[in-house]
Amino acid sequence: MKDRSIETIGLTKIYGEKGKPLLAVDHVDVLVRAGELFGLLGPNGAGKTTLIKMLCTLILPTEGSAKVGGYEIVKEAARVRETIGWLHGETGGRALYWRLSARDNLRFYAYIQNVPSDVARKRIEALLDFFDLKDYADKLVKDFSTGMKVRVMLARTLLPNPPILLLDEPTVGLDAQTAIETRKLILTLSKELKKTILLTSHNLHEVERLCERVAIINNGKIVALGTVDQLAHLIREARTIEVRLDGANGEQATRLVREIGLVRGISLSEKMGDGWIIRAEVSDLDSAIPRIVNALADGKFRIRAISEIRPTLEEIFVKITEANSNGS
Amino acid sequence: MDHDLLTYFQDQVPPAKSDVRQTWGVFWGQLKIFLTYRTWFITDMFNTIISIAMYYFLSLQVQPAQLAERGYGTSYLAFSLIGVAFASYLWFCINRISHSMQSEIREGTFETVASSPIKMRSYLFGQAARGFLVGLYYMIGALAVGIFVFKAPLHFEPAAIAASALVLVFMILSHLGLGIVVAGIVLVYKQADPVTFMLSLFMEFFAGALFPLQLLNSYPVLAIASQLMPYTYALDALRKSLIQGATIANPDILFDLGILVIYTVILLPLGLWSFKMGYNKIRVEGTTSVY
Repeated sequence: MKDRSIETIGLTKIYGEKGKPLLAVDHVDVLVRAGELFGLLGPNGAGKTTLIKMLCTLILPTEGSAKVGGYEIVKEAARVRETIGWLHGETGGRALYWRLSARDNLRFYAYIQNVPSDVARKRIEALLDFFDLKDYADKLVKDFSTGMKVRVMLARTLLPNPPILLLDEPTVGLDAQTAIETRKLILTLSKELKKTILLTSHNLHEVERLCERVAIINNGKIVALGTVDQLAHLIREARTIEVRLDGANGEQATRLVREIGLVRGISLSEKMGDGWIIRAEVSDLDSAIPRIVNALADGKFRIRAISEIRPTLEEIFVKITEANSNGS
Repeated sequence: MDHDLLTYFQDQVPPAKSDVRQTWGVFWGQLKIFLTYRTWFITDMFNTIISIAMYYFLSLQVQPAQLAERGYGTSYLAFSLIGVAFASYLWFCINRISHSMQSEIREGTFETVASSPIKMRSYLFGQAARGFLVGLYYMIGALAVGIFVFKAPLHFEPAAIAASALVLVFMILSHLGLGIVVAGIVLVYKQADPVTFMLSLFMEFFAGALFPLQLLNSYPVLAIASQLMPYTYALDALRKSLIQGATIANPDILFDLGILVIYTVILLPLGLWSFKMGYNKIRVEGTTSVY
């Protein structure tokens, strides 16, 4: 059980009065392993924030159960709160005390997060330094830009050094350089300090780059869960092979590829520089590659490269959520 | 850069769990926030001075016989000064808790606090401690203006001050529960100003902040209502100690203190319980950040 950092079983939340219920989270079963960097994706209103707020003990579930760090979120809410660090980046810094300085915000949270004073002092200085806030540490947060506020919020989340981090949009509002540094930090926290991290982001490239597994939530339900490769398989019966050829006579090569039985269609065939590029949709990747290579070799074409084209997480996300919304 | 930072996060240090430390943290943070509102601070003080001046002119019109009959001396100014200064103090403190709650929900800080390991009672006591400390500044200011500017005759012997301080502590504790109830109302209904306004009017009227309570004797329902107000007993003891110089050994003061202790024992747990109910209700509704 110790390797199960976050586990939900049939977790459900229904808002609203009787007669007008709103199903926000619908029997969600998710398991995030200890030390895993897990992504949660979903369109606006899909139920991500409600799910995370239930894990933070801020919202009580209507049905089902969940454990965070081995503690039950309703019966052992106080223990859950000692185990988590929650960042709600989408608030754009509203969740800080604007009339306190950055340092005083962190000092305040050290008190309420039970961080011993001597440890807090050192960590606060290190965090202010890391997030490039040292020169502004004693200025009131009300005068900060959105990006600076998010940096203070990130520092606050890390301050108590919790084993489980729930990072809801951690890089929203950050400039490119700080976003890159923050992503590096998230990876470091995961790899070196073995933190369990549940990450939500509208930046799908970020999730793709950081997360080991991803769940897609839509209309309150988990509609897909797995590694990005596993999700890619879900959306495509056919897979795409890209062939790069030397020379400009690609039309004849395209005809040869199209005639191979395993090829369902050609999605791209065009000149590129001094060569040619062909993308073929195939039903059986392992059998199709040698057949294509042989056919082109027999036709005296020189293959520069051949590889499978993986769909991006963005393509996967759009296809899965569209298919789910259409009921297929 | 990562490795510099990580050195501070390698070890899991034992948490410094302490209700007192958490309460101090909330008090410290809230006080620092309050002190940034300099204009508000000055205008509130100005309002207090104006209201004392108004009661001074009112005191010129009132006959002292009824005050003497209750054992409050013969100065209406001293009588009303204590009534108003302490009532304002109490309502400032009670309002502070609910106003802070409104502001924390609106700013989104309440959710961050509620998802931390802090106990709700530490959070509420810390908020209240800030209100009671800052309110003390206004109350002492009002008393000072009454005494030094308008020459209100009050007793300041050490024994009388000690008795007043003890009464003040139990006045605070017995009303803290009410303040927490109002904060719970803010959590659920997101508004509490009409409730606190009504409560303050009721309390000032029924406790006799501005008139001696024997005026209510002809109206039995009103007289009973006044006996049910904890502030009635606090005010009676404060007036007897500060106007007549009564000490803790005085049977009237001991009786008033006993009643305030009983109200503390009843209202404080009731306030914490009702706040918990309110908090659980918004967790069911999912409105912890809705204002």
